[in-house]
Order: sequence, then C-alpha cells, then structure tokens
Amino acid sequence: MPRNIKGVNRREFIVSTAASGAVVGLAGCTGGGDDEALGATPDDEDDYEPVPEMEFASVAQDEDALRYEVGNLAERQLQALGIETNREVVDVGTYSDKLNDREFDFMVAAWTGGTERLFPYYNLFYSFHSQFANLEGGNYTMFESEEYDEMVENFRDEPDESSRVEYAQNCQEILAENVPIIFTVHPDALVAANTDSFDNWQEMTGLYAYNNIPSLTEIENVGGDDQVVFGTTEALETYPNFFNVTGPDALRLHAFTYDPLVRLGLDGGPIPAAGEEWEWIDETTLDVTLRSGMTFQDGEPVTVDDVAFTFDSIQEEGIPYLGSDIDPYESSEILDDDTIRFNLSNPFSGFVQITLYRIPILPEHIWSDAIADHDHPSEWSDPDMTGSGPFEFIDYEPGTQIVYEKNHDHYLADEFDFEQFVYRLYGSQSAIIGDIENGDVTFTQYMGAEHWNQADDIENVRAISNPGLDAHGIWIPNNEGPFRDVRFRKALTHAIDQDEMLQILLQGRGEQAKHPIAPANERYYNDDVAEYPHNIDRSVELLEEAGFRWNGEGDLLMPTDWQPEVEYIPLE
Amino acid sequence: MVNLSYLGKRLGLMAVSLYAVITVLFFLFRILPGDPTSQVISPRFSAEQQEQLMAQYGLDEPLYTQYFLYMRNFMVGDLGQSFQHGEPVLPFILDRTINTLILTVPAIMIAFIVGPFIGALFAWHRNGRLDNYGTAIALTTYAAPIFWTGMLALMVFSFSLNILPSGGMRPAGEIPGSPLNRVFSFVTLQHAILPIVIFTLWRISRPILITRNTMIDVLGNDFIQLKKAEGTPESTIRYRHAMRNSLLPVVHYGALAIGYAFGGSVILETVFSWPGLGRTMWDAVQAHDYPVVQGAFFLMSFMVILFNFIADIVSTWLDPRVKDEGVVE
Repeated sequence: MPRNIKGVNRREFIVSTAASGAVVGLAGCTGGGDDEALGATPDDEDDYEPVPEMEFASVAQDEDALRYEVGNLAERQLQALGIETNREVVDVGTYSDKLNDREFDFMVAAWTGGTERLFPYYNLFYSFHSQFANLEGGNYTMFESEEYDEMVENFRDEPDESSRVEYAQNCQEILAENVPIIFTVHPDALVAANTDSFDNWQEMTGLYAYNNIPSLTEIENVGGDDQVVFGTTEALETYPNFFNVTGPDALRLHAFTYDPLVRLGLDGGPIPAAGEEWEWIDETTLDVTLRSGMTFQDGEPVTVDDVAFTFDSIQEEGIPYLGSDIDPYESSEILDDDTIRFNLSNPFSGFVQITLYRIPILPEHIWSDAIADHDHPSEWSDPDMTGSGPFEFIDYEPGTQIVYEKNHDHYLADEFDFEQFVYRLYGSQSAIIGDIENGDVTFTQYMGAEHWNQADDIENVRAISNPGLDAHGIWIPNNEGPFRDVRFRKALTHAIDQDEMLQILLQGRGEQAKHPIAPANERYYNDDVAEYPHNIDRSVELLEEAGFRWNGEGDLLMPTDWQPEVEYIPLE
Repeated sequence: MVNLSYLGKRLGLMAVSLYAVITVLFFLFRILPGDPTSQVISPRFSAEQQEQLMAQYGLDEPLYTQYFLYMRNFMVGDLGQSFQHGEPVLPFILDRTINTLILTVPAIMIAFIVGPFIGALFAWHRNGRLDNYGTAIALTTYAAPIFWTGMLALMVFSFSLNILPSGGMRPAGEIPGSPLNRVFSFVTLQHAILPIVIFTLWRISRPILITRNTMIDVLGNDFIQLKKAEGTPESTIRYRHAMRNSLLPVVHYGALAIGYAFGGSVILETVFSWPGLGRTMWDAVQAHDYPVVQGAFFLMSFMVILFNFIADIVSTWLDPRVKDEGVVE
C-alpha cells in the first residue's frame, strides 16, 4: 500500500541538514582529522602504511540528483573513519565505462525498479553470480562465492514458488552477511494524478505506479474527458521501432500497441494477456495457450505462428536490450492452432514473469518483409506500428508527444474508460505540476521530492509515495586491497548513516536497504538478515579486528604485509 | 557594387570554416566519454550485447572509416539516422528548426526593428527620466534569466489566470493536419505568445543598449551640430543621421543573433516545452545521439557563419568607409 507521508517541512529540513552537517563535520574532525586517532595506534608505525587514497565516484547532479547527493553524504561519512578519498563526479558515459572496466573504489549506483523486478532475477543473479565476475559480465563488484552461485542458480531454476522464495531469501542473507555492496536506500516512486477528470486510481507496485495497463483499466472517467495525458520530462531512450528498443520506458509503451503473452497485475503477479493459460511441462518446457479470436489492428488474426516468429526473429536478429530475456529461449513448437510449446535451453523459473511479459507478439506479415529488406530490422526508419494491443499507435512527434487511440476490437476495450492516451513530453516538472492542477495532465511519475510535496498540497491531485523496488548502494571492488576482507566492508557499512540519507535526501520517502531486494517486494524480501546500523565505534572495532590502525593524525593505516583473513562468511 | 575578390575571399573563408566545423563536430562527440550504449547500461548487458549495439549504430568501425563515411554522406546531404527515433536526421532537424524559428524570428524581428528606435530615443533624451528608467528596465530584462521570467509568466498567465497554454505547440493529442497548419494556426499562435514575449524581452535589451551607447557618441560629432544649425528637423537628425550612423554594431550583433536564432534557446524551449532545435540538441547530447547532435550543431554553425558573411556584405553598404576594402565605386 502507498504511504501518504507528509513531507518534512522547510524548517525541519534546514534543521536536520544543519544537524547532520554538524555531526558529519564533527566526525570529520575526529576521524579524518587533525590530531586524534580514532582507534588503536600501531605498536610500530614502520610496519604500517596509510590505506591508499580511494576514488569515490558518482554521476553528476543533473544526471541523477539522488545518486550525486548520496555520494556527497557517504563520502563524508567514510572519511570519518580516516579513509582518504578523492571525489569524482562523472557523466553517465564515464560512469558506465568505469563500471565495465572495474575502475572504481566507490561507485554510487542503483538497480531501477520496474515491476518485473518483483521476480528478483537481475538483482540477484546477474549482479552477483561469479559467472559474471569478469570484464564481460555485470558482476561489477567481482563478488564470488560457490555457495552463492549454487543458491542463486537454485532460485533461477526452481519451479516451486515456496522453495524458490527460500533460495532467494538465502541469497539475500549471504549478501547481507558479506556486504559486496554498501546498500543504502530504496526510494519510493513519487507519482501524482488529477482526480477531477479520472478517479479510482490504483497503483501497481514499483516505479510505474499508474503508467501501466492494469491501472489504466481501473480508472473511472468522472470529468467527461476522453483523454488520458501522461506528462513526463523523460525522453524515450529509443522509439518507435521495436527492434531498436533500449530502455524500460519505451518497452512499456510497446506494451500499449503490442500484446505480450502475459501482463503483470497490480500486485506484480503474472496475469493472462494474449496467452490465456500456461503450464510447465517440465523445468525447461512451457506450453502456452493463445487467447482465441484476437486480431491485429489491421484485421489479420493473431496466431501461434506470430508468437513463434517473434521469439525466433528476436533471437536471430538480436535486440541487445532484450538479450537476457530471450537467452533462455531455445525453440518453440506449434502443438495446435492455439497452443505453442517453448523449449528452454536451461531452467528459468522467471520465463513467464519476465520473458513472456517483456517480449510482445509482433505481426509476422509485417515484420517478415522488414527483416528481409534490411540488414537489421532496427533500420526500418518508419516502421508500421500495427499490433494487437489495447491501443493503436497514431502519431509520434519526438520531443512532443505520442498519441494512441483505443483499439475497440481488443478484449480489454470495454475496461478502458477513455478513448485516447497521450504520452506528453514536458521541459520541466514545474509545468507538469501546474498542468496537473488545471487538468491538462492526467498523471505523472519520476517526481522529485519538492515537486511531489507541491502536488500533495493540491486539493484535486492524488499524490502517492509508492513503495519502490529500486535499490541504491555503493559498489566496491570486492577483489581489491582492503575490500577483500568482509570485516572491512562491514566497517564501511556501519559508517554509513542510512537514516540520515533517508530523512534528508528522500525526505522520509523510502526504506533503508539491507540487500538488493526492497521491502515492497513482499514475496521475496528477507527482513531477517544481518544489519549495520550507523555505529562508528563498531566500525572501529571491526577495523581493529581486521588489523587496521590509526596514526596520530587520524589516518587509517594497514599493515604493510596485510592479507585478508575473512574473505567470505558462509550461511549458518 | 561588391568587390568580387573581397566576396571570393569571404566565400573561401566560409568554406574553410564549414569544413573545420564539420570535422571538429565529428571528433568532438567521439572523444567525449560514453557512447550511445552507455545510456542503456544495465547489469544484465554483456559485453557482447554492447558490441552488438555498437554495430547496430555503426560505431564498431575504426574512427577513420567512420570519418570518411561521415564526410562522404555529408557531401550528399545525408546526415545519417537518429539513434533515438530512427528518422533521417536532415528532415528531422529542419522540422525542429522551423519550430524554433516560429519563436525566434518574430522575437528577433521585433527586437532589431523596434530596439534601435527605442535606443535612439533614450540616447536623444540622455540622462532624462525616459533614459534613466528605460535603461534600467532594459538592463533588468537582459539580466533576468529566461527560466525565471518564463516560469513567472507561466505561473501568472497559464496556471493562475489560465488564459494561455503552459507549453508545447498545441494541446495534447492534437495532430496538425499539414506542415502549414502547424506553423500558421491560431492554436500555434496561442501557444507561442508567451515564449515569444519572453524571448523578445530578453533579446530587445541589447539592440536598445548598443544603439543608445553608440548614438551618444555620434551625437557628440560636429556634423550633428551642423545639421541642427542647418535647421534640419529633429526627427530627421535623430533617425536618419544619428541613428543610421549608430547601426553598424547593431547589424553585426543582429547577424549573430539571427544565426543563433536557428539554434533557439535550450532554456526557453525547456521552460515552455517547445519542441525546437535547442531542446532537441540538448536531448540528443544527453542520449549521445551523434547524428542528431552533429546535424544540429552543423546547422547552427552554418547559420552563424552565413549571417556573419551577410553582415560583412551589408556593413559595406551601411558604412562607406569599408569601400576601400570591400566596395568599388
């Protein structure tokens, strides 16, 4: 359920900022500081050397204000331990280069929380399996554990939900115990909607609270306006050619024009869409029955051949953004006019919730020619956008708007209480708030805290703080220097004041993070894991245990022959 | 008559400048950190998938191959395809340019036609009440940032009084029937009023101040006293003799302003959600959409260079002293 938390007022904000500044300043004086050792001093200074200066990187403020501010706050807090850092603020290109090349000591990063992340495959598997701990993979922290690999593979493969949840929770326990990342916060998704024109707003879990088909089927037209306008400042990554799709916002819009086999319901669970039912035959075989009587918007029937064509051509032609979604797909067999069998190359229990949700059905009679006529179908610059989805693509003006009209032949047509959906691009959030109030915009998302507070004060606007699936943290290289010792990583985590981040940077709208799964993911979230409350004394204790000392100037020292003693803590 | 060798020299210089701009643009955006794939970086993206994406964008070729392909295509007017929208770049940016010109042409015309007259009036009444207050207002409109005046205008006219739309070129969902309809319609005019007014207020201050300051100098010249002694009517002295002789710096500044007008104003277009070239350029830079960025910057540079060239020619007409270099009798 969303929380309607009133924002911290300006006075409280200033007081808390000043207080935190004072605390951090004092901590800085104590630790990084001038002339006082934070913990034990070395018996013989010659046997020790200062911990090397570390690079503390984040993206720039205009790229992601939260990550930038988390970086500022966290850096100061870590400096309190006597660690010398060098702040680097980078653009998003350099950020990804640094991650790919593993050239960072501290990197403020995050997983974004689309609803499909309720099946926590990306957060648990791709980010921590040792198979990806190389320059080609996405395990940027280079965390490696055979126990974890086995556990996360079990999670990926297990068809039984309760066992799968248990495996996922064990994964979270391992991650919390070994802190491969300093987890910080799970921000809420801040969204707002005008209630004069449409009512009965019901939010879906995660980032896209209102911008999804199930929510839009629920809203009731109370203002007599047949148009829903989604106001946003986010330009689409790539659009409209589906074979060129490179981001979650564009993929979401493709689900308006094309039908996937399953959609996710308001609670994030898979619900029938073009696929009426599905059945696992074994752990690598899934039969899906197609909804009967469906047609594309040009009147052609939707067939199992279209489904097979879509999966085969995406696999053959390649859509990098959907690479991991299509990966488990090996082949398909048409069993009868309504049934298709998917054969997977390896067990993947998220195939329904992720793959069938993210890959929609494309019309073969349109795309087969495009594939034949181009080196790659993504080169089709003016693609025919005919699909079978609940909305028909009408017009796209980059930088302005995308217009869709209701497909009256769709099985959901009667559920929508409006005729037109407009994806409207704005230059600023302030203009969106003004237009939400006067009714020109129906709803918005991706709001900053200040704008959300503004919207929350407007009578005819429903502003909600939707529990998010995003997970923020500070990525650290687990295979380098002092980071190799779990106790060092734990000490860093104790030095971070998550509550301060939450109250000051998110104005209370979010949760503290223990691992990459947010509490909003009620099914998989494990609350019973190791925790690291802000406690500098405990940090000092852990560092002393791990062999670190401080000199008289408060700088952290490590023995010249230092070796990690605790590189991994197994599950009990 | 314009001296042909002078004209040839200027044209040659223009061609060299354009070649330099085209080349710099190509390398500039490629030496910046990041590439189009960095916009969609994700933990689940393998290096192989990133390479596939680079190949899809044609960025897997060596830099010199990309450069020669780029130059060859440029010569035939092919500026490539947008990575973001898949559309050919040239018609796309021309389309955005028209949107920008809808705002900037009226604003600049008003600013450079009306501005010098106001400046002349201030200079004529130097240190009078009109000059003191008028100059202060002109300085204020110049110093006030567009995002602030723009937001203020939106708050008053769009959100409080609700008499003008807050942004965009037309209401949500409305699709223009034809390109002409997009430019010349009541709806577009209605949406353009606020940004035009704000842009005009910002733009008009410079021609006012430049004319005023230059004309104050001109008014001190002997020939002005002579004209007065001759009994020439005041308005003729003010506008035909004093103002005309003060226009040269305004013309040069105007040429630059017209050149920049094609690029629009990122801030103006952002505040008013106007889909012009400025905002397009900004979005493209953020998305590392090289073809669009290159095309947009080239168009802007071309216009600035072209109008500087035109200004040089016009100044030979305005100021006969240039004749030794650029004009023959």
